[in-house]
Amino acid sequence: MHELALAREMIAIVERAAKGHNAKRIRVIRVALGAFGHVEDSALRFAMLAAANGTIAEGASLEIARTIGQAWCQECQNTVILETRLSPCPRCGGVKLDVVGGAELRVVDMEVE
Amino acid sequence: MCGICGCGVTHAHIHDHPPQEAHTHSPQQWHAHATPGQPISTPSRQPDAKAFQARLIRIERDVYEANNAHARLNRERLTQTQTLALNLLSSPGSGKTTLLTRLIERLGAFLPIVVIEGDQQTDSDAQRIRETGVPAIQINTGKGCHLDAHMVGHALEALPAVAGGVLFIENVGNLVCPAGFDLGEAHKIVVLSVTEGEDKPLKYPDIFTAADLMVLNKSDLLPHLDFNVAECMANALRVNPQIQILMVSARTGEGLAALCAWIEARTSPGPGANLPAR
Repeated sequence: MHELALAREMIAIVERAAKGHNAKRIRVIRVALGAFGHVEDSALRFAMLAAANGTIAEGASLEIARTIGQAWCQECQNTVILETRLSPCPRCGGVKLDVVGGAELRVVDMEVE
Repeated sequence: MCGICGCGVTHAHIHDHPPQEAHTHSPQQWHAHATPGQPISTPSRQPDAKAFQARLIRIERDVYEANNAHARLNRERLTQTQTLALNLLSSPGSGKTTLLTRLIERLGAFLPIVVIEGDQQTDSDAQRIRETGVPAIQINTGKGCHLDAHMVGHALEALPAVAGGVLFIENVGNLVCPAGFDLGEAHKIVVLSVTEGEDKPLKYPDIFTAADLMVLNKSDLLPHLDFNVAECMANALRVNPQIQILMVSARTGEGLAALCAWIEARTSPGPGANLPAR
């Protein structure tokens, strides 16, 4: 359940930003999560409820936007978009794929009052 | 007070003393910035349209950035002291600690070694390491499921520098959570024992993707198992075509010479040797 550590960090990030903008309450937090991010959506939502408890972000909704997973195909020598971690190369069907993108977890923006 | 980040608490419980002695570290805590008295959960204010107007605030911050900043500091420090840092990952029971004691027996004669042990509870692994004669720090993560770079930074403060030597970090036994957390190591090494099943790289791809080396342990048990070594290796290469693979038995010593050679080849580094391999 490393999502709890990540949720705490997310809350720390939005709290700092909220303070800087004199926000009274955070209503929505939007994050970008890579297709190969080391995070389970539902676990992150659950962890965020716990992490936000008693903070300015308590009651805020979490919107998760999935970003694409990318890999370098050793066989056809192209950067390709993969649907899942174990998908073959969509161009050549190869399976020697080095993941090059899609592990991110980023706080994009938030709506505050 | 944290020398790295100025925090007032540690994020984990670090044992650098025998367990019976008193210590001042607090158990697992995090920086909760509660704001008591603030009407945060109930929108009970006057229906003033302006007061309710939502504002959009752009943030664009990597959630791993705080960890990565600590990892960069650890890596700088390790590079300065020419220390090869290896982060050992596996499920519980794969034989990491036994493997580590065998490696120390072989490498310790000519390489300075220090060890950071990560477990949710108990000091027993660090004690096992200290019995081999090398300094070891135990980090207890409490409910935490992985080591992070902040904890490792604190542990480094309490360990002697080992110029030209090796820092082994034995992560919390867990094939999932430690994958995304850079500790400042030169290499992640995943230890998989042959009693665990050849499909583990496919089931837990993140950790096998993050690792530069897979050590297949307990090879002495192969005659008693249906474990398919070739299939396991193919699965590891499927999720990480760059991964190197060595088969060992910590119990019988089979393959340990090759693993020691792998480690030794990466020690006595010049500047930058602890940069991530990929």
